This record gives sequence, C-alpha cells and structure tokens, in this order.
Amino acid sequence: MRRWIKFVGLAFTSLTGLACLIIVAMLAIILGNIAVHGWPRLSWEFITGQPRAGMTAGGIFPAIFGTAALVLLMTLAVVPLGVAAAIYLHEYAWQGSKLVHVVRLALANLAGVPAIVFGLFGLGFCIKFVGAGMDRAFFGGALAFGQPCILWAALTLAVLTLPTVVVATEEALRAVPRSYREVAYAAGATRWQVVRYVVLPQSVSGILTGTILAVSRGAGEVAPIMFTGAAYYLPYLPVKLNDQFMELGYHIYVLTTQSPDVEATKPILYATVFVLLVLTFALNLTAVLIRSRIRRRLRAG
Amino acid sequence: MTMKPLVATLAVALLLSGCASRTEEDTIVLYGRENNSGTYMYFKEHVLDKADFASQVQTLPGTAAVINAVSKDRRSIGYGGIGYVKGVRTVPVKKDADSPAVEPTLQNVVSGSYPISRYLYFYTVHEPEGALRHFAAWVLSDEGQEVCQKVGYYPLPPEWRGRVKSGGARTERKTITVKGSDTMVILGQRWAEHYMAKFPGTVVQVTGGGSGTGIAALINGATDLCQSSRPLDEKERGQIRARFGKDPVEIPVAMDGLAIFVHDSNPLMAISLAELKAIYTGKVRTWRELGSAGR
Amino acid sequence: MDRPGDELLLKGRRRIVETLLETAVRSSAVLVIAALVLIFVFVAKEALPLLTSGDVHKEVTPWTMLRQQQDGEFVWQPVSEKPKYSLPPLLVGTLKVSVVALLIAIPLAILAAIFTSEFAPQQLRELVKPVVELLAGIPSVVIGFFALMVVATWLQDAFGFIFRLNAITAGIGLSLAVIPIVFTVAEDALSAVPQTFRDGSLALGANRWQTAWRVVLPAATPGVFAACVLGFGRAVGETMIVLMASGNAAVMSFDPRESFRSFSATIAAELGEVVYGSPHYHVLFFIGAFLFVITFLLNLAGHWYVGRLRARLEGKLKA
Repeated sequence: MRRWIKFVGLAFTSLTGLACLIIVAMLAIILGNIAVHGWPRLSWEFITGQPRAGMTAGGIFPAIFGTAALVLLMTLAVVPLGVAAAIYLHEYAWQGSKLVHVVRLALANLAGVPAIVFGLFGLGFCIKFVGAGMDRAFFGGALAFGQPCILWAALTLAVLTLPTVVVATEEALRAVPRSYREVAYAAGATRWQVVRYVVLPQSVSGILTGTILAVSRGAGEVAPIMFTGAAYYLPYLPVKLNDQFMELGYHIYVLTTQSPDVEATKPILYATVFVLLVLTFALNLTAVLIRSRIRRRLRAG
Repeated sequence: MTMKPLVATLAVALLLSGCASRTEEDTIVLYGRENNSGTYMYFKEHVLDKADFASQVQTLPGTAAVINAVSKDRRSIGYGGIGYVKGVRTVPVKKDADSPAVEPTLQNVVSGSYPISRYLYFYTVHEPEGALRHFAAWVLSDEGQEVCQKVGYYPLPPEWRGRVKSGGARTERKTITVKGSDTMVILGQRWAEHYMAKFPGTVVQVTGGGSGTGIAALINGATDLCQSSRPLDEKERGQIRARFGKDPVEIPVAMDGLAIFVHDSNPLMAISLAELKAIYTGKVRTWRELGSAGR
Repeated sequence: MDRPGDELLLKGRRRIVETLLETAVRSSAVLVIAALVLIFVFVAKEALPLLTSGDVHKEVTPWTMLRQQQDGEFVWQPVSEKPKYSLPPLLVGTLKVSVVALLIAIPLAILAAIFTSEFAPQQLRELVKPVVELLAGIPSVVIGFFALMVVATWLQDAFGFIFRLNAITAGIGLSLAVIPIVFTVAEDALSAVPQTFRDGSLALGANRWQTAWRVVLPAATPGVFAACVLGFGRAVGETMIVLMASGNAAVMSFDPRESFRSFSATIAAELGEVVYGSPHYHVLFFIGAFLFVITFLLNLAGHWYVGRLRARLEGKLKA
C-alpha cells in the first residue's frame, strides 16, 4: 500500500513538473521559431532604414520611431498619475475607508477590461468628445484633434497601463520598512516630507519596474491603437501631437494580412516580429531582474 | 473531489467530438474578405447578384491574407485583386456555361472580355484643386499608369486618362491624406513614393482599412482622397450630399481583374460565374458537387 | 485620531502646502475610478441609440439581434442590402474558443502553480515565475502571428483539419495568453496557505503530494477558482489572437474544428468602416459595452473569491 502511495506521489509530482516544462517549452518554441526566421534578415539598415518597394525591402525605422514616441508620451501621462495614486493609497489613506476600497476595485477591473474596449473608449471619448470639443473651442471647427493621432493613442494606452504602474509602485512603497517612516515622523517631518525624502527615494527601483512593465505592455498592444492613431504607411515621422504614426505591432498586423507579396515580405515580417519581441523581452527581463533583486533585499532585510 | 470534474470533462469532450461535423472530406473551404472591403462589395454585387455570402466563408483582412491562406489549404478557393497573386493558381472564368474561359490578363481586362474586371477609383468631395489636382493628374499620366502596371494592376485605357487635367499648382508643403481600399493601398503607396521622389515638398500619406473605411472617412471629413475598389453606392452618395451639399467626384485611376485562386495542386480548369455564386452562397458545398465540368 | 504628520498640527504655509499635496494625490486616486467610469459611460453612450432611437430600430433592435434573421438561420451580415445583425453566432464563437483555451490553460497553469509552490526548490521557483512573466509579456499580435503562420499549418498537417483557421488553432494561441494569469493568481493563492497547514499534515504522516493534493489545494480552492474566472475573463476579451487566427466566419456551430467569429474580433474588424452614427456603429459599441459588463462581472467574481480565500484562511487560523 505504501509503495502505491509513493508511486502515485511520484507520478503526481512529475505531472506538475511536466506542466511547468510544457509551459517553458511553449515559450522556447515561439521565441526560437521567430528568432530562427527573423535573425537572418536583421541588419543595421533594417533598423534605421525606411520601408521601400511596397514593404518588400528597406527597413522599419519609422515603425520603431513611432513606437518609441508613442510609449514616451504614454509614460509621461501614466507614471505621475499612477505613482500619485499609489502614494495616496499607501501613505495617505486610511486603509479601511470606502474610497480606498473603491479605488482598489476600480484598479482590478481596469486591468481586466478587454483591449478593444479601450480602443472604443479612445474613439468615443478622446477623439469624438474631447478632440472634437478642442477643435470647436480652439481651432474654429477645423479638423485638428478630432481625429486619430499619437496624442489620443498615447492617452488610451496610459489608461490601459495605469493598473500596472499603480500595483508596482504600491509594492515598492510596501517594501520600505515602517521603521524608516516612524523615525522621520518622530523627528517632526510632515507626511509629504516623509514621502518625498524618505519613502520615494527608497522606492525608485520599484517604480522603475512598474514603468518598464507598462512600457513593455504599451509597445505590444495593437487593438487600442488601431483606430486611435496607428497608420500603415506614412512618409514622415510623427513630430506634432496630432500626427499619426507607424507602430511595430500594427505594422506586423498589417503586413501579415495586407502585404503585396506574401513570400517576399515573409522575411521582413519575421524580422519585424523579432525586433518587437526582443524589445518587449528585454524590457520585461530588466523589470523582472530588478524586481527579484528588490524581493531578495526585502527577504534579507 | 477528483472524480466528478474528470467525468464531466470526459463527457464534454465526447459531446464535442460527437457533435457531428457537417463538413465532409472534400468540402470547399471558402476564403473571402471582410465586409469593409471594396473587393467584398464588388464580388457580392457582381458575382452573387447581391445575395448574402454563406456564413462559413472565412473572412480575412486583406487579399494577401487570402492568398496566404489559399496557398496552404488544398481544398480552398479565394478571390482578390489580380495584383497580389503569387504562390497560387488563378482559374480562368467563364461568363456562363457556354462562353470560353478567360484568363485575367491585361488585354482581357481592358477589352472587357474577362467577366469580373472593375475600375479602381479615387473619390474626393470637391473637384480637386491645387496640390490634390497635381497629384491626381500625375496618377493619370503615363508615369503614374506605368507605376500601376509595375505593381501588378492594369492601366486605364488611354481615352479614360483625361479626367483630371494637369495644371494644378503645387502650393507650399501640403499634406494629402489618402485612405481606403486595401486592394489599392500598395498601389497608392507606390504612387505616393514615386510622386514624392519626383516632387518633394508635397507629402502624401496612405492608409488602408478597406474601401468602406475610406468612404466612411470621406463622409466623416477625415481624408482628402478616398481610394476605393468599388463605386460608391446610392446610400453613400446620399450621405455625402447630405453632409457637403454636393455629389462626390469620381475619378477612375486603374483597372483590376478580380482573380479567383485555388491551391497549386487543384486541377480546376475553369469556373463560371454561376458556379462561383453557388459556391459562395453555400449552395454547392463540396468539390464533387461542383461537377466534372471543372475537373 | 492623531496620525503622524497630522495637518492640524501644522501652521500657516506648511499647512497649505500639505493640504494641497494631499488633495493632489487623492485626486489621482479618484481619477483612477473616473477612468473606469468614463470608459463605461462613453462606450455605453454610443451604444444607447440602439435601445432608444427609432431610426436605428428600423434596421435593428436588441430583440432582433437575438433572433434568427432569415430562413431560420442566425446570420451576421451587417453590410448587405438588408443588414442582418444576429448575435448568437458571435456568442457561440467567443465561448467556443474560450472553452478550448481554458481546457488547455487551466490544467497546465494550475499543475505548474502546484509544482512551483509545493515541490520546487527555491532556485527553481525563482526561475519559473520569471519565465511565466515573460510569457505574459509576449504581445498578443505576436502570438496571433505565430498561431496563423506556424500552428495552423502544424495542426493541419498533423490532424488533417478541413479548416486551417479554427477554434483549436486560435484556442491554442489564446491559451498562451491565459496561462500567465491563471498561474499567477493560483500560485499566489497556494502560497498564501499558511505553512502550518503543511507542517501539520506532514506531522500526521502524509507525504508531500498528499499534503499538496488533499490539504493545500482544497484550502486554496477559492483562490484557484478565482484564477479560472479571471482567466475566462481574459479569454473572452482577447482580440488580436482571435482576429488573426480564427477565420472570422460567423458560423453557428459548436465544432471546434470549424472557423468562428468572436465579439472582440468583430469590433476590431468592422469598426474602421462604419460611418459615425450609423446603426452598425451603434451595434458595435453595444457589443463593446456588453464585453465590458461581462469582464467587469467576471473580475468582481474573481476578486470576491480571493477575498473569500483570505477570510477562510484567517478564519481557520483564529479557530
């Protein structure tokens, strides 16, 4: 009987280990397949050049630039807001209050909203409401901001990544030992002084993690930007807030479905996917490493 | 705790597999375009006689995606603009059962003997002026039509090319927004590339999304020029009239044969319009039913 | 109640500054709620004419969307001589692919979570969790690309599917997006079970797997269930993977080997072409509002279960 239990135990344990292995294998297969097909086409010219000959030659620089500009704008919007909200939740608010409860509920739900609904939000609120209103008020009815552009796409993505930043910041704030704060309060510091001079400096790496994760998410999402600003072929780079932009993820989607010559664009397609993957991968890996360093420090200290 | 979920899962799995699949071994696998596409609309109007597509047509967002799918699927059939065809076989089309089967070549499309050929259009709200007019005139010129051929479409017959007379003054840096047909997006983009290389100072930006998208943008006032692989219908003309007080300006800019493609291994020799309609409305479901006439 | 740094103890300018700052951070928190509310309000606002406008009702009403459209068939053909809006094929499609994805993702993710929290040594745990987070970081457009280009061909060669793009292909891609969520929540739930539970079980003579299977897992059931619910919410809302790999055919069939069309892919595919203000436009926003409500409810349910878990564990400890 005991041997039977031991056998089942072993089988069960290996089953769970196998599940882990399968998941790791899935990741490896995707990365491997894309790397193998995408690496050969990669070159300096590819990253810095313009697309040519109907996307069958040349590079993807405008898409890279557009993605970078988009994500930069998004970060400028989401990080201050997210960090401030997290500071309120953790440093200022009384934990039992109704407001805290509702905010946390809202955050959890915001994280679960489908990406395409964010796209609808961008269209219905940013473009058709705020943008159209701005056009009426400041531009005398001309079409300036009441159309898809990088500003609205960035704002839409900012709302999408807000939960990521808030959660990561809160985790960072929680990691700062209470004793630090208590010492500061005892010395007569005000709440803001404690936050500004004691807590925040200690939480920088955690906030950075959150920012990096948000950037990675923002660079990868396509559905929210499909109707709020991304374009397939633009002969210029986005320089004004109401310009449209090319973007890596959207470029992949369009190339997969609309390229003129499927065989000719396949190498470019794979290479573009590879670039996007390497980008998000590098960002995620950095964030993960920073986070595990923080957690290790937390456990030790 | 463990047995009940297991039994439930097994039951569900059996149920699912037991759901007798209505698909037979030699089912014709249908590929088509999304409903925002001019190609979709054109096919619906001229081949299906406005009937509805069968629900099992798999809709893909671009002719290239359709070709990609057909090239991998030996039971499949698809339709799309002639300019994209690579890696699949095009099937000659018969107007009706007694006509000869016609290949979608340049002569046949221009002469009209290929039964499903169409014009590709530019639409604007107002008569083109200034930079827009210069661009449109260039597209209709020999240079522009040559680009059209290089991309794989067919140029307009010469007598059609005078629609927009050149002479528009290219004022200082102006941006021309072009939106619409996915069928035409590559063409539009190549035109833009060549035009901007020849006449620096004007910026032409091209996005796709389907003829329907371009037309909607034109109605919404969000684009200068709409590329469309089908003519505007009465409802859309009415919307432009309602919004701008006049009819839209229609400028044919190229010709296109709507090609029918099948997998390389498919021996289908020819297909008639009636057979295409029967297949795409779901009345004929298998290759066998299609009959020996094709094989 | 005097809290440290209480503003009431401050005087003059310092007090003004502190109050201003507190208002600023509180407003940021309130903005979070506002964002969520705004999303729902503006999506619902564009969907409202479907319920109220007579013009729209000439073409479609909420009731006709649930019924068969013609010849006893459920048809979704909004661009047509006579537009037909029938939701059931889309609903069936969405559910079909979600079920396939969950059937793959839930066993894998939960077993892996058990391994990570119960059996794995510390170093392995430090390896698996980041790997899963990396999986979560893969953009869904990349997964969709992979499913369309590679998985579809593999499956067709292996199983001889008639339709290359079907619920199984899309479901496999979708499961890659769902696994991280189910894994993370389940693993958190299992880790939250106090060590005393395990120690007690081992002390009574059970071995590691008996402890995991019969003590820890049942204790964490609400959390694990929450993981499944949240995974389901993710599956229902995912757009890009389904848009690229499903075939987008609005077929009313439960067979996973056939193509299908889901709610989110329908919105993504058709939103570009609708004329602002047309009945089609309002229907698409209606579907969007519907998706929002469903995922909202699923999220609420998920977090309620996590709360239940916490209460249960704390409750048991008290007793």
